[in-house]
Amino acid sequence: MMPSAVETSLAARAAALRAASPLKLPPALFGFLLPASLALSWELAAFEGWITLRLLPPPSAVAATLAELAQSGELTRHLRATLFRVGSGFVLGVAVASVLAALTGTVELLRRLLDPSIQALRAIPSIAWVPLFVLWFGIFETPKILLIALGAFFPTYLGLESGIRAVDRKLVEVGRIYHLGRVGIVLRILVPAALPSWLTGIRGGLGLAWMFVIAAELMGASEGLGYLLIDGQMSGNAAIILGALFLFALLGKLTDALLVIVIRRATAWQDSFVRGA
Amino acid sequence: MLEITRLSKRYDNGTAALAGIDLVIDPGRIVAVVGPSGCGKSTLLRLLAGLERPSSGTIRLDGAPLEGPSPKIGVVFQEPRLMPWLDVLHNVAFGLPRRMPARARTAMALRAIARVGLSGFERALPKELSGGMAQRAALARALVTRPQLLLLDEPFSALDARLRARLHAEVLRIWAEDRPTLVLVTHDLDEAALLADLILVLSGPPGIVRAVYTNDQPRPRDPRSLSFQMLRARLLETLSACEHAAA
Repeated sequence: MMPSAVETSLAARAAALRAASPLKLPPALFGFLLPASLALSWELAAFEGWITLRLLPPPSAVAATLAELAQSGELTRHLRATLFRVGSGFVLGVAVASVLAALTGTVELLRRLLDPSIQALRAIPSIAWVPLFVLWFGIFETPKILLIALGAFFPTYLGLESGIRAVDRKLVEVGRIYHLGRVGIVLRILVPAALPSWLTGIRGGLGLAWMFVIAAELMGASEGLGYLLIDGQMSGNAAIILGALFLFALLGKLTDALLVIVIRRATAWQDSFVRGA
Repeated sequence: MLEITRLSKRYDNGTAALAGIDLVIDPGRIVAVVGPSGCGKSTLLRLLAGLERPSSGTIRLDGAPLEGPSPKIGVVFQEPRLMPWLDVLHNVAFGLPRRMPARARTAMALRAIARVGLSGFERALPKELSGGMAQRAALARALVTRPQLLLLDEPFSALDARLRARLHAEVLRIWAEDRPTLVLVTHDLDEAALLADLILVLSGPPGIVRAVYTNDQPRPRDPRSLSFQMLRARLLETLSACEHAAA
């Protein structure tokens, strides 16, 4: 016997809803409206002489400074340094956090043993580790990457651990009915079910990784976007500072957008109110 | 043959859920378990499914003691319990052993999906299914291994009356194909009288078998027939007596 017409049309409508987009225009375009008009009025204000150019150079001057830096090859060097630090620190932090959270989330004994300590460490503002890291690892790359890893660690850990603990016991029972072992239940039920919460944690971790790369580079660096900030301050060149801020915004938004695409693909099965929310 | 001998279950917190159930069920019968809430009927099903260990007593399926979940047993719960991240095909294939070749798994899953009338929805995600369709998918997952023993824990109670009636007919049709032993926990006396060969009335806690009714009316059964109504009246009477005793 076939499912009723009502059942069939419900599924068809659900499929149609999945395919349709609520807005005709690409939403990204709306996002550009505000910064574009701000930049325009800022440029106009500078042109009319309403603002002090030395302290608040117009977008065109910032762009020229960045172009100059790009031409000399310096910009690439700074960008590469910062991206390398964020990338390696983020990957390290997410990896360690995920393994630990998978363990504390699934093994009750380990949770009782480790989780209180991890939660206590979380209470320390991560920047407070800087002096100790410098003392231990010097001022070169190691303490910077570790600080960024620490930033990415806690949101990821919390996301996966709470995600695993929130998994419906009834789904775990289905796994037991079909003879999944401990590892099978973790891999085939707990991890997929906790995935949305895990990815949300990773997204928060990426945000903190970007925040901490600045802290790391401000504590002493010879290259990187954070170095550019200090350099601009020392030389009284606001255009360099603004240029570095712009690049931070651009890179932060870009990496976040990439992660959001991954999250949407991986969690398309969720029955959420707004698609991709 | 399903043999249950002096089966008792006491939970860790001291609650006695079942106190000595004895039962022998011939293969291919449909058994309904009814009783007031808290009488241990769900505990009995969870013990049969291997989700709980008995405190004492044994369960044997064809002479072999049951220890934990077995591929010979399929379970459908009150909720569909589908994995929301898997489509219907993969949810149904979830019931198959993982060492089986992928092609054989797919073929068996497709056959089970066809048996419950869900062909065409293999790629649908659980969130796109109605309650009835989701429960069909859950039934397909339980059937995919062709179990000897099919356990149904109030599987239709969340559905509306018309859909429930259709699924009753479909379960009977599927049961007739390879005649597994079917144990149905329900609080719906019409459902019990309509489907079952044997109706157990449990009372408790702690759960004991209060009465056993055999129901040999030929199928399809007519709920308006005199014999159906008489059976239903007797069930209701026994159940009321149980509830009185509990209160």
